[in-house]
Amino acid sequence: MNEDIDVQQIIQFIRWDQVPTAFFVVLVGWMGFVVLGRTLDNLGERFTDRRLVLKKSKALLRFVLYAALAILVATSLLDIPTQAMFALAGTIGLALGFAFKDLLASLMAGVILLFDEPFQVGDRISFGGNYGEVTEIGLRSVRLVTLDDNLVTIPNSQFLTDSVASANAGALDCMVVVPFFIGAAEKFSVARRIVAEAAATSRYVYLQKPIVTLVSDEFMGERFVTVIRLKAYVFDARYEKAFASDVTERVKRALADADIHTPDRQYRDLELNRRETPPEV
Amino acid sequence: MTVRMDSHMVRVARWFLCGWLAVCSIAYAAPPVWSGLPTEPAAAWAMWEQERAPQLRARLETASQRVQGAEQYFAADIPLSSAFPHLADARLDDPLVLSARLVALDDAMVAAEADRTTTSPDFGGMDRAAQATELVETVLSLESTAAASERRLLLSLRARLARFPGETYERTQAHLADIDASLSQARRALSADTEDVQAARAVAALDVERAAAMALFADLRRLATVSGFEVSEPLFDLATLNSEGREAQRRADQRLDLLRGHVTGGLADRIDAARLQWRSNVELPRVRNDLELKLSAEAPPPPQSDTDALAAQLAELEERIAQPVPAADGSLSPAAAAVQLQIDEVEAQIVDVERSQLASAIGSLQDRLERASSQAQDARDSSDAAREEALQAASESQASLLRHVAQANDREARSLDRLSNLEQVAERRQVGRVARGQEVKSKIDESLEEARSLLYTSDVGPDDAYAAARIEIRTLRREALRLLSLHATAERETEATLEAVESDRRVMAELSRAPMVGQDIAARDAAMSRWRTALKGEVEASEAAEVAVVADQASALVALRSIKEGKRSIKSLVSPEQRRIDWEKLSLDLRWEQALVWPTFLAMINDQFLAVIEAPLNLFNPVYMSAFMRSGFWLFVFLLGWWFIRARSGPIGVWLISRVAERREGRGGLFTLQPEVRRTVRAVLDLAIGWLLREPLVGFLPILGFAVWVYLQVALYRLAVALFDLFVEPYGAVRPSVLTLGIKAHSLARHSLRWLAMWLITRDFVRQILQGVLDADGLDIIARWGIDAVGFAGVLFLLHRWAPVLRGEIQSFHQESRWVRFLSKPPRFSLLNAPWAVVTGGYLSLAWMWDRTQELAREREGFGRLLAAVTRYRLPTEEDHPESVLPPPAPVLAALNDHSRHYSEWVERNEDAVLRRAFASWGSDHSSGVMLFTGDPGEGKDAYLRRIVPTLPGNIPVLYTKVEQRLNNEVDAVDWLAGVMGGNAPTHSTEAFVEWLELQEPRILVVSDLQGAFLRTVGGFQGLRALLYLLNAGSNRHFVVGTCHRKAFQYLKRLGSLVNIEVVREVVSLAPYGEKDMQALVTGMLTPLGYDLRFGTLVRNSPFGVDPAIELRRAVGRFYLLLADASDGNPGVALRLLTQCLSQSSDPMSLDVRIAPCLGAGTLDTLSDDEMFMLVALRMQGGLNEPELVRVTNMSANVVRNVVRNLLNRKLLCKKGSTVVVALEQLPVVTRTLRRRHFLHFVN
Repeated sequence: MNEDIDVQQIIQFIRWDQVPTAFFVVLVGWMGFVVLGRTLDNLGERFTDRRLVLKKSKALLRFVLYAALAILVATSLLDIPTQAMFALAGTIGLALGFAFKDLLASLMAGVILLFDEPFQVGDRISFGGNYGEVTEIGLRSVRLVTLDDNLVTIPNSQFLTDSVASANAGALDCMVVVPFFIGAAEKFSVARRIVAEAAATSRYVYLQKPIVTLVSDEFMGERFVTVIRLKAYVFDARYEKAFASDVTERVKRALADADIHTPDRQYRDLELNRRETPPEV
Repeated sequence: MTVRMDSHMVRVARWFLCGWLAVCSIAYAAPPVWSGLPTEPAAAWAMWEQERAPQLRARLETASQRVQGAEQYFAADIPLSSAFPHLADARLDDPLVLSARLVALDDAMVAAEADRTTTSPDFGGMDRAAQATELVETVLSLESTAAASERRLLLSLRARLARFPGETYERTQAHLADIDASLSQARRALSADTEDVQAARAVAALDVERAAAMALFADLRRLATVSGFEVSEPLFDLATLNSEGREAQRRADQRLDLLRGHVTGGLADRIDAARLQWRSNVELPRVRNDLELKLSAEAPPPPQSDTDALAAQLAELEERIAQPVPAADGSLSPAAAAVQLQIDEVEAQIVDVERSQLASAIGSLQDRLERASSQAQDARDSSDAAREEALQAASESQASLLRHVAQANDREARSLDRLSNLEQVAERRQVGRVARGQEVKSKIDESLEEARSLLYTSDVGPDDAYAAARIEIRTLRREALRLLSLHATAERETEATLEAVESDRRVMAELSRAPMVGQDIAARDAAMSRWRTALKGEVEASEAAEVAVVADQASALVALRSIKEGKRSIKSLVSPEQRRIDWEKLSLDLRWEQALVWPTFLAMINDQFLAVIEAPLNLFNPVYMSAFMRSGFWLFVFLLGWWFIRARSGPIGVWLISRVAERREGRGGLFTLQPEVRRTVRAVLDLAIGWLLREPLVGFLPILGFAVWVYLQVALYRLAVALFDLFVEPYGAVRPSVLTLGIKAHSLARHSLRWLAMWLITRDFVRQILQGVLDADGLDIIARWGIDAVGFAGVLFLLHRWAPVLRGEIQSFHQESRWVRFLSKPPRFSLLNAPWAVVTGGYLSLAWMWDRTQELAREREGFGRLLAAVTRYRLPTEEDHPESVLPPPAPVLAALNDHSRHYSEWVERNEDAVLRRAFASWGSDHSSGVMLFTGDPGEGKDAYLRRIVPTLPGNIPVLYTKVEQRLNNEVDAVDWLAGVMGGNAPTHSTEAFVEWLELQEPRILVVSDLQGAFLRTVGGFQGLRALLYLLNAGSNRHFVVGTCHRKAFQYLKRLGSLVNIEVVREVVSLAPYGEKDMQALVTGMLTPLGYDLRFGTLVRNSPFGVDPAIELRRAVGRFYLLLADASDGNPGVALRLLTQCLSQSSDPMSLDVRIAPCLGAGTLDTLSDDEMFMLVALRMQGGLNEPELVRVTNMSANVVRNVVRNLLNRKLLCKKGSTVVVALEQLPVVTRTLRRRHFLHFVN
């Protein structure tokens, strides 16, 4: 192979007259994608139960469109004879492979993510200490919006080697776990019912999946407490925290009405009343 | 006479002995003393004490005996066998044996050293270890001493053998064997005559001699190993030298020679003197006497003719001369040596004399033999000469015969030459053909591969491959034609050959009758035989030449066919330029094909014939049959399946019909189609099996494959006709069909179909024959043109016949359509009938498809939804009729808004039966009589129950009530129910109330709006829970029927244990109204008022000229479909929407129907999340006031107030007292919006 490939030889492989056409194609393609993307987003808002599917379609469409544009531009701009292509492919491919090793790895990882689907656009995932909603699966990276409205960009290649947890795995609904703490001597059966009713009556609850309440005694801060864990589903993952907040409000209100106290309150009462034994249940 | 032992056997015996001694040494070698002991000290000591120590003590005793024995032996006190008993039978005269024994001693020493250096194991005490070690040391040292003694003995013996090689075992055994041979001979003589004194004496003497020899050998060993040993005087041997017996004297001399090497002094002198005396006085004179006798004696007469025997004797003599004289290991005195030398010279002279005598005897014998053979040869030559003279004098017939034979041979040679030439040329042609064919094939394959694969690029384009194929076809055609003429020539030559052969046979017959004598007859017969062979060969060669030409021709035709097939395969890929060239060369191709069609056909027939002939033979070929059975397994399965299914085509048809009839209600008439279905099933089956069988059968027998192909075509024809008969019926035939035609049209259609099918089949058949069988592509093109022309003409003719029929059909259409009017008139020229028929047929087809689509949409729900969407587009809207709209008159509005009468007055519901059944069941077992009806607001649940419940049997009083207040707890529930039941019901406790309830007279309790009993908040279900408990507890006595909003019930169902909804025995959800129900409802409500609905504004002109009445009917159906769709089947909502679609017509008793915007399928797009949640809460529970909304939605009061206000302004909500509810007419759009946005996410 001739190593002395000068710039002149490389330039002659480019069809300069096709540059405006290629630019136009790229522009049209990009605009088309923007329009299509917005259409899909709107449809996702309108048909909420199909929102995640539409987002996934958008991500896939982006990949396909970018790949098609790249091939189209390359074939229209470059006019490399077969032999020269084979001759150059080895050297240039090697050089580019080393230079863009990470980028190519992320690119391939992006394709694998789309087909392997450890998560989809719209999922709530936990990765590397970040928890948030996947807003975009791009060619190079995944964009995650945390609950603090921070945009976290994670290279695709990282997802191939580390584990990622998805809260809803492509579904609109996702499970929310909310713990409630009451004194160890309080009426836990009443509290449990209150918690269950609070979840069932929340405006965010997804009743197609069950509501589960678990009761356990735990030792926290030098005292025993009764923990009632609520495991319920919210009908749309974007309301995950709102659901938890809504249920918490209802529970607190109801517990107060039922005269059921939190652990600190119980023991403070003991202190105040100087009782040696806790009040009878 | 000496007896030599076979040297090979000696070697084998020696090695065996060495091995045996080695084994004995190994066996003799003791095992390691410390190995195999347990690790546990006590166990180790116990084993030592019980096993090892006794063994060592035994070894110690043995070793001491050996040492003692060796000392005595070396002191010459005891013999070797006593001192070394293990060596008693050993061949200590053999150096190999001695070496092996020495090696064994070395190995034993190594093993002993290993034992000496190995540390003793732990015996649980130092004293024990010391005791064991001491014992081992003692044994090892004594064994070492014994081994040293033995080594000394062996080394001494080996040194002796090295010094005196004559004393080796081989030599001593040879000596003993000599004595033994003489002894055995003497014993035989004695046994033959026991009175023979001399024989007895000889036996005795030989016995003594043998013993003396053994004693000598033993003494010689002792001399070597025991110092100071003195050998006794060999009196016997010395006496034997002076006795008779030459052999005995010689052996004695040998023994004295052995002894002489070991003795000195007086004994040595005596031995020397005796030996000298014997040589000088006895041996030398004897040999001289032998020489004189040999010289004087006449040469022995040789055998008469036995040269070989004489030669053998000479060879033996030569060997004797060459055999070296065994050198004496001892020493002769100089004088004795001189005498010995003279003896040797005389013996050599004797040998020379013997040799010369033998040689001369051989020579004379050979001379005599040569003379005899030359005489015999002379005799033969003379007899040959005589014979030749006799033969020359034979008759001319013999010469003539030979001449004919020569000619026949010549002809045969020429035939064979011709055959050889033909075969060589054919082979070269074949090779060239194959090479060219492969090249063309590869180009064709590359072109095809490039066409199939996106990534494969070829240097050979399809045009190149096509051109190459064309050139090769031309070449092969020329070859084939040339071979045709060659074939004709070969045939002629074969005929000429046969004639010549026949003529020769006649001559042969004449010559065979001519008289001959003696040897001439045999010669003649031989010549005749050669002649017949030549003739046969000539005929065979000629026939083989013809066969070779035919085979070459067939090969050329096969190659031609193959290339043509390849050319056809890429024809679709080539450029128009290649097609143009084909067109230009078509006439040339036709001429070629015409010339080759007959040979091609014959070759094909021949191949098929051979295939048919060979096929039965293949049945007996196990390899072929096993391969056929493996590959043909599925063939048999398909054939069996085909036969089985075909026999049962009738029942299969019935089964198919019944399956269709099950799915489509009211299709019982399908069973009249059994014959047509059966024919269709058979035709499909034949088609399928023909398609499956064709390829395997082609491989087995091509003609069978062709037959199957023909069968396929027939099956295709039958399938087309069967399908036509199945789906199309003439008017008057009482059976279901897809299309109904007039009788004339039906007949014409059937005839057209059959004609078209036959035309297609004929076209395909002709191509198969011309291309597949005759390989005539050019003829195929011409034939196809002709057939296509016939087809075109036929189609035109059929269209001409169809034109009036189609015109009659379209004349029944509504003439308002311009197209209908145009096509209803006949064309000006009859020649235009065909295009007229095409256009008319197309128009009718479109109209028919449109009708079928409409019918399908009316029948199938899925299609109906799609059609509703299309209809919304199709129906004229307010934009189409912008004129002002008068609202409907007040009576109409009042009637439509009257909810007191239930819709079931006009539309039957199926839920009645469910209610009656549940009531009857409660009546029989009086248990758990709680039933619930669910439905959306406006569906008329309460009115329905008010209408139906009183009709229940039993005259049980009915109590109607409605839950109009929230029941917050159990007390509220008891109080409320007590109020409903009336009387003095105890309300202080639930149990008392239940008891009271069970004592009351049975009643039917209708409780409406159960959803009002709960509130969707924490603690809001207590009241409902309590109420359900009370109702259930009292249901043994009272039959309870409740109503509840459908969404509220769906919600309660998912709460699980929070609300025990399972107490409800039966839940009935009111079914939504369909299109027909809506129509019946509206018509039933308005018709009694005398109003007429006009749908004329909804009708659009059909482009297909459909009858306006039909279009009107369709418009009405579409409107009600839209109404049902827009209201979700809710009659209350539908009536509200209908009020917006009606307007006063010009006729005061008529109402115009239009499509109002409320019939759209849109959703509310601009609602915020808070508004959505609010709507969900209201949709679920019906009416809620503001405080309740705050609790249910958990939003602040301000937010709730604002949201309610917004929704009221948008008319999505309306006030009902202090509560707000979703406006009835907005119910569908609100539900649709909530569902699409996933806020309402549970279904039934």
